[in-house]
Amino acid sequence: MKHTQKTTGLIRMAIMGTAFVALTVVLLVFQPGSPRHASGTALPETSVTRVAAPLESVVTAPADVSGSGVSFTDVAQQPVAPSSAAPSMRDITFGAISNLKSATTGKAPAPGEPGSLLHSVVQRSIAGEPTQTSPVVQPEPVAAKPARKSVSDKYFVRPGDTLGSIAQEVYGDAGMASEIFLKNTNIMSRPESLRAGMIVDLP
Amino acid sequence: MVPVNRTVAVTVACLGSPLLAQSSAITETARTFSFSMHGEEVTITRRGASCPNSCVQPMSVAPGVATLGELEVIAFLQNAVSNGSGLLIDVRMPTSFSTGAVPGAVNVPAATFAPENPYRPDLLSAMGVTGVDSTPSFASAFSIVLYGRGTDDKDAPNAINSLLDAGYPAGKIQYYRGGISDWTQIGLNLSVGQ
Repeated sequence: MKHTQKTTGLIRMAIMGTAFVALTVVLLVFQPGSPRHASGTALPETSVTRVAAPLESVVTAPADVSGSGVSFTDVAQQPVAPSSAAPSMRDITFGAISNLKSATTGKAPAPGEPGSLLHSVVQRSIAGEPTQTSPVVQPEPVAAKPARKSVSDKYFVRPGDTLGSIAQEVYGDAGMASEIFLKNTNIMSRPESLRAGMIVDLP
Repeated sequence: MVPVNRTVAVTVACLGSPLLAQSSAITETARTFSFSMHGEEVTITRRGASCPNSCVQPMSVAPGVATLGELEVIAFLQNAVSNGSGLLIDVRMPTSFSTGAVPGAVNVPAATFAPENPYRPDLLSAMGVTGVDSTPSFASAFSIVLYGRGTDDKDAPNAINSLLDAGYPAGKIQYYRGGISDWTQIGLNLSVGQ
């Protein structure tokens, strides 16, 4: 009788031990909620249970939403961040702007349109602000051609000219671009509507 | 029976040890709160997520900024978002947003609202602010509701304060404090990859 009890005890012990080891191995192998399961950047994330729990209800979400009058079909895809490094503030911001434009106008801004990165860079270079893409403006050509302004108060726009380059050439100061634009609002609705062949008045 | 009891005791001790971890911080300044009731000291502690990553946020972010519940958020979606005058903004990072967000939400990470972001004027412009470079006008700016991970996510309040500093009128900003955590906890659906 005592022998039977002892055997039963050993069996129970073995079963519990096996279960414990198996559970530990499963947790070690799969590591639910481990940061390496999250794609992309290693940003501070919420705890595992909060993110993982709602995923059961997530599968049916698009079907539920489709009839609610809010259209998601034309919303732009999230910009894919490089998986090795954290996306820069510029990429994050313009990704967000693209999201906002998609939500408010129904489509993401095309390159060059207001709200796009290209548009912003162009605006900044016109305004004379240093940006990541435009190196420091060299003052050299100004000294070479200082007489343009004295000859005429008008400027014939050549191919490749921008308000910034004209301001740089005529005044040696790209910051004058906005002044030139303000002087010519009668022929230009926007700074980027400058075309070769136009004759702009110089302030 | 002795070995069995010992095994059970050891197993329970091994599995139960994580539960005995020390309490975590509730806010930046407080780990516990105490009060007395009928002369007895009562203490409020917290387990799991801890400050500074997960600080419990107050109900009110700033004067004039209303705090919403789920039904108010849904009403906002049905009214302001539907007629194009409002935006529901998810301030989490894109990786979190893509795993599931409130239907109709737009992802604008909280960091982009910070004054250090050199591209913030472009962002404000996309939110309907005019004249961002000289004298900003918020007359046609969208009315917005911001939310983050949940009641212990400081990102949404931070974003709201940054917007207020930028001049965004408090009357056009609202705060959904429950965030994605409360939204899912009560069983409301998410929209994935929108």
